[in-house]
Amino acid sequence: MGIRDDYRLQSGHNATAFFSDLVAGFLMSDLWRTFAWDEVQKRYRRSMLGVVWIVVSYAILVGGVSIFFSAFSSADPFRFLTHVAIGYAAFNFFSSNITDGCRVFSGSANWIKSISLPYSIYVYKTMFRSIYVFSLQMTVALAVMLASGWRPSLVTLYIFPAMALYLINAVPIQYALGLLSARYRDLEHLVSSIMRLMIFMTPILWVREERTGIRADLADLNPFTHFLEVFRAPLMDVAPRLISWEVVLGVTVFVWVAAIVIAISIRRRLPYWL
Amino acid sequence: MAHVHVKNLTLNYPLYGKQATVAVAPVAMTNKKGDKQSTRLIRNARKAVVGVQALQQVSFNAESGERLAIVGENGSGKTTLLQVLAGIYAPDEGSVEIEGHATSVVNIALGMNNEATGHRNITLRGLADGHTRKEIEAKRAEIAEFSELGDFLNLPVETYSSGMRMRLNFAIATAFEPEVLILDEWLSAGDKAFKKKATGRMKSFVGSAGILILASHNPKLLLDNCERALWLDKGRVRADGPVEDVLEMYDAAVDRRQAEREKRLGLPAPAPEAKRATRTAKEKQRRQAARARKADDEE
Repeated sequence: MGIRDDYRLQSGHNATAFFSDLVAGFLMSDLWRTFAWDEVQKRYRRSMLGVVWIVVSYAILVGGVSIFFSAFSSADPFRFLTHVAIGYAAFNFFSSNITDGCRVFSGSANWIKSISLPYSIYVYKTMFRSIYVFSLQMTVALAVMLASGWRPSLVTLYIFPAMALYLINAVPIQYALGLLSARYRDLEHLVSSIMRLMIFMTPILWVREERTGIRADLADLNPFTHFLEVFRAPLMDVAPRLISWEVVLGVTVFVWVAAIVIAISIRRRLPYWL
Repeated sequence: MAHVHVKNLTLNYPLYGKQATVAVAPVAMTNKKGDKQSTRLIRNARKAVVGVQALQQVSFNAESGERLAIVGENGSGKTTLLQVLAGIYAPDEGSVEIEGHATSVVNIALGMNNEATGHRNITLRGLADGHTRKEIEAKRAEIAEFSELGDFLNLPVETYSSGMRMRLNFAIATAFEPEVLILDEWLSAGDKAFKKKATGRMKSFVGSAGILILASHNPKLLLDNCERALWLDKGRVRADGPVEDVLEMYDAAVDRRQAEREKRLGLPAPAPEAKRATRTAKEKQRRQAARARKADDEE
């Protein structure tokens, strides 16, 4: 009996079913990696540069933004460029997991309605695609960092727990949003409007430390600030604040609990909504 | 040994905002006649349609080597039943137990990446079916040969005709020798030569102790491929038995229903004797053909 046969028998209504879906899907990594790769290829099909566009377009964006916005920051221009290059890539990773998460199941209706596979496969597929884009965008950031004289230090090691937390959060966020927005199609539009606003509310194009009063407080209330900080600060030779770790861990627990509750109550109904 | 055990399977198909697109008019007609029993629509307290009783108390067992046909009118629950067997929908009540590696092709329009080439889709479907890349490569030549697609396998699937899609689907589904093979209506879309080839393959596959479950409206296809049939009527099992007998009962019921419909609409009904005569002649022919085929097989 293969994974699929075992899987078929347990599409039940409980947390165990949800977790075995997550595990069974993860084990089929060859499939979701192939799916993800096909999707990346599809987006750049018939273009001459192909996936190199991910790097080129990110370099254009970061370069342009930095030239324009560095005047608003008192930081050294190179430091500001690094701040933008890392921050934007990290934010992109999150926002693509959140906005694509809304389509994670509805976009794969074609497969969900024809072959019985663990639903988590589609989550890992989308996640893998965003990891791929994130890595390519980080090469631009890394080039900027190296050019500005950055060298790895002990503080840099903080990026490993940060990365792990990114991935640990991406799975339940996508799963839950995917289920909810398959049922309630308005959610996707709401989420993308909020994410568009968050680009400006989150310290990407501005530096939190330079702000005081209400803007600094608002930044601290925004979980994205902390998610960005645990990854960006170490790469800028600053240890992340304790509050950032606390918020990130708190959010992690919250999204997992939410995903489990949502999965238990509505996961079984998914194919009917597609 | 492979087996498929279905017990008291009940499935209500919820509609979720699809009400507007669901045929509402026929319901109103049914209600006007006062025959509320026959409607399978589920209504909420405000009388709005919220679902359809797709399957009710369906039970059957299929054991190793059995070739089971599913017959029934449009909307009788055939495809839904296959989708439950395929593990796409979970039953609301009852149980479905499948022992053995199952492959199902319920809708050929789905289950492929249209932008990807035929070869790429062979890989995807193989992986989705739980095979390793090595196993897939070992079968690739055979799939290419059986589907007769040749160089077309290097083209995106979106360039294929529906017949070509069907060939590829069938070739992939049968290449890995599943123990349980579940196929829907689409197979009858193939041309004559391919149907013959497909029949040959299904025979050899079931010969190797597999289970075939095939839904179709094409009596010849079912007689050629199956020896047992399950007749679904409005989501319930109406009959389960030898394929010739069940098809005969089914045909008779369809004719009767058609006659009633015509009568209701005030159309002149054809003389019953004439009708029965044609039907009996048709049946006789069919049974003879079936017997001849069986004799052929036994030789």
